[in-house]
Amino acid sequence: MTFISVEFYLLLAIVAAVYFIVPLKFRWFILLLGSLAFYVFQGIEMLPLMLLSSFVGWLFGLCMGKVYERDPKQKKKAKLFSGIAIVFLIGMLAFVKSSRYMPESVASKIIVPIGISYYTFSIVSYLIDVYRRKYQAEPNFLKFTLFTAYFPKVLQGPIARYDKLMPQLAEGHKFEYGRFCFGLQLMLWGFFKKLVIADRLSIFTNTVFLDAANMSGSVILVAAIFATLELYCDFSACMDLASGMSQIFGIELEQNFDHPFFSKSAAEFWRRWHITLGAWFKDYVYMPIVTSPRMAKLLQMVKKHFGTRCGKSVMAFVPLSVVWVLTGVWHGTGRAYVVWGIYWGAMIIISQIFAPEIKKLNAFLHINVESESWKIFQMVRTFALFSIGRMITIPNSLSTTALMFRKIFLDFRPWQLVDESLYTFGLDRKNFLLALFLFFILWSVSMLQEKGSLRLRISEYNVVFRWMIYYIAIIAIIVLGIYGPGYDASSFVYIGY
Amino acid sequence: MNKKQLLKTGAFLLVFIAIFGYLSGILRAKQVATGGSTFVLEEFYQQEKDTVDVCFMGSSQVIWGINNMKMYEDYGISSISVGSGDQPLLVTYFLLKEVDKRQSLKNVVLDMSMLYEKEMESRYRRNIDGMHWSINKLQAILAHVGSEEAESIQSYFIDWIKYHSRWKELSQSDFVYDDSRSSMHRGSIVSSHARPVDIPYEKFIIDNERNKTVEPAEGQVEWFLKIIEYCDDNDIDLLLIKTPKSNWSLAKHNGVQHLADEYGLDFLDFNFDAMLKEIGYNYGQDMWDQEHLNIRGADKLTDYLADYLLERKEYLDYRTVDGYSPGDVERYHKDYKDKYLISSIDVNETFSYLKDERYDLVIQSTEDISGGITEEMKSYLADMGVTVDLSEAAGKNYILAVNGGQCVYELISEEPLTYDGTFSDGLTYSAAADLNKKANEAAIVINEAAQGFAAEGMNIAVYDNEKGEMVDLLTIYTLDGALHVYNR
Repeated sequence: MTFISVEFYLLLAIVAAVYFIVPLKFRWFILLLGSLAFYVFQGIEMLPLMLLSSFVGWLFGLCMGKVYERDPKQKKKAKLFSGIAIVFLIGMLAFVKSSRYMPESVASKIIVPIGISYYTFSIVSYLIDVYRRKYQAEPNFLKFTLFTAYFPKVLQGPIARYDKLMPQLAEGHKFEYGRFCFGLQLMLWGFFKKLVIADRLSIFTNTVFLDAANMSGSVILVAAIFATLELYCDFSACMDLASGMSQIFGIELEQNFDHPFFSKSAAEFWRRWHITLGAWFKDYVYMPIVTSPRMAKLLQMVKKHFGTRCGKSVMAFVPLSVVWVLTGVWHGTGRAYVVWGIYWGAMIIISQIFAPEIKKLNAFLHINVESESWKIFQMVRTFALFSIGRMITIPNSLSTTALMFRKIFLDFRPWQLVDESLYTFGLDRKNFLLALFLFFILWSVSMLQEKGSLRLRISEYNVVFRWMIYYIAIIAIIVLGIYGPGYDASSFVYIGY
Repeated sequence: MNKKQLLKTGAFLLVFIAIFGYLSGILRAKQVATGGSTFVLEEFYQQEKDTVDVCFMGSSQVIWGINNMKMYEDYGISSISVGSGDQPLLVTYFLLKEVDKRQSLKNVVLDMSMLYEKEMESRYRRNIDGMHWSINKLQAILAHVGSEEAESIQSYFIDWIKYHSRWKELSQSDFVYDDSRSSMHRGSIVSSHARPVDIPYEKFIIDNERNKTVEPAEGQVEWFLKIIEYCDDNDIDLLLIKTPKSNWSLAKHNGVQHLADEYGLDFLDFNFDAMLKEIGYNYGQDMWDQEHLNIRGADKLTDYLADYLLERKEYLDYRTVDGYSPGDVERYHKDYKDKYLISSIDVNETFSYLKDERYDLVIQSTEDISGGITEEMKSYLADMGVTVDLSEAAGKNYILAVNGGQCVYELISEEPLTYDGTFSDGLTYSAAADLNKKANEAAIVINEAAQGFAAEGMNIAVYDNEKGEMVDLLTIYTLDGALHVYNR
């Protein structure tokens, strides 16, 4: 049962109907029942593991709370509790993620609970926040389980923070027509990105990457560009669906994408892409490293012997290296993902360390960094950097990645871009040209969204025009969507995490 | 939600349902090629209630192998064919219920091909999708979707789940139902072409070692027995037949015969020489492929079956029923004539068909056949106003143009000839006659499209000036001193 299944929307409709019927104080419980039902539909064997994680997080959080109640200064004991729980949870995550490297006889018996990466990180953030006394521990296990397993976000995030999400879940909201419509509209846009754009592009990219050795460099390049947009549309679509259905319940999930391809640097990109993951690593890995006494000692030593500049470089290098290696591992367990993490880390570290030199170079080359053309160049550059990163992770094999790059530089065959060869990799001429047109739609909507809420703007139009937009969107999804007999009802790309 | 919001939501949904319903109808695949099931089903639904006594059911054999208009015109029996290519017996069963619901059938004639054919999903969809929504359609879907190969139940109820990707194939026929060019009449098709199929069916079927042991296809027997039961419960006579088919076999025949004996049914197998002789079957002319009778074969089979049915039961003679219309009779006769012309292999017969106000002819020479021109041919040409004597045209080129059955141009010369003419409806063409050129070099060019001939001789392009389309491109050629007809 995914966000693109009829059964899911039947469940959603039932949950929503019951939610708005029961008294306000019981509405959180309906969300919990719906979330558990959703999880059971994924596979009942996964439920105990998810509940176990939730129980461990809740129990140890409660223990910390009790410790602080008795003596607010008992940080050591609280640290022990949080440490045990975090080691257990991260250990469980690491174990299931590494199951692909185990013998088949062992791996086949390991259950990988859906969304484990996301809910584990949410629970870990809760434990650390309770340890830091940011808020009090949740006394109610069922409410805590709702926080863990809340169904719109359990599959692919966003990685929720307890203090932002729990109050909304517990509160119980009245039905609001405007909010309900807004939620549906956001879901409509999510469906469009997923079914019309992402799944259409995946036909091309799967065909090319499955047989990369026999493809020309030009085709691989096109596939890399498509793969980048495919990933964005797929992942952000899931976020839109999750946010949209949450809005129906009156719950605002945290934003996870902010038009990342308008970014002008790698650092900015990762503040706009998978925002909650970046924020999690910043709050729970980067900042603890940066503010740790050991780091302060190291910094002092380096400054003393090598100067302030070196010290600043070490300050950037150490925590960012850790963050990016871990980010790579979070995305996947192969070497390719570690390389991918190092790739991004290196870019961000280098751009930070050498920021003054880069500025001087721009000035030397008389580059007007305020001009529109430079900003466009920066966006295209960021897109290209991300596409290169995709080429590292898609085949999950460094040798295949190397082969693809060799093909691009040594076996480009540019004529294949114009001799209609591109229509022979799963997308016929009409579908390929449609894909190009859809990029334009995506870009246009993104541009409009950058200027403010598009839904709000549309809501101010006259009813005929407004409904026309909605009908066109619905019909576009129905007619142009990739689904149905003959098509694999594509699972979302990030669902395996 | 307040009242205003509720009304707005309701209005939005209603408009959407209307758009969605219209869109579904457009996106749904229409089987409108020759013999298409869309036409078959629509023809059935167009029949007036309780005006059909006999229904031919099964796979494409009953669409191509029966002539229901002849059944009416020559025998007064009101019959229709309801079937589709490789139609599983499950679908036949529910269509039988659907037909009988509206028609109170006296007879069902069931072609038995499908008892031994594997089911495929596309074969279910052809006629289930085209059924109007009814209990029978619902039951057909529910009966089928439990099986392994069936597509999702949602895709049966919501067409666009399956058909939405047809957006890039949409054509006029998706938007406008037009059966005026379907060549289908009362569910059976006036089929074109004749392909000499000289398989001696009986020898082939009996001698073919590979077909010695054959089991009925899984799932088909169950529905065949339900058809028997339904006919029994509703007092409908059930007759089993098998039209000539190359993959039939003695083992299959024996299997059906065994079931027929068990349930007291008659089974007529037209794959045996004796039966083929009974119907006057012509190996060179009566099939259009190895599986299907053409119009000539269908006429013969229809004659036989009509006599067979009339010997056993009394039927209302619908020719005597005031106000009853069997369909577009005029269109049928035109189709019928066209197809007999196209399937003709006899020169005199061919010429007898050519004189028709509906036909414009362009006749050009690409080989000398003057020695074989018969008196009958000359007489037919003279009837059309042709004055030149083609039997005296040895070694000469000629071009004749006939519009609406009357000659409008004729020229005969020792030099190569060209002629730019116009059909009755204004369409232009260019003809060229040259005894030194091959047929494909001296094609007729109609509206800038070359229409090539397959042989050298007397090339005749036949154009229907009412429909505005080519009917035939035939060549009269000489072989072993005699004239033959080669149809495209």
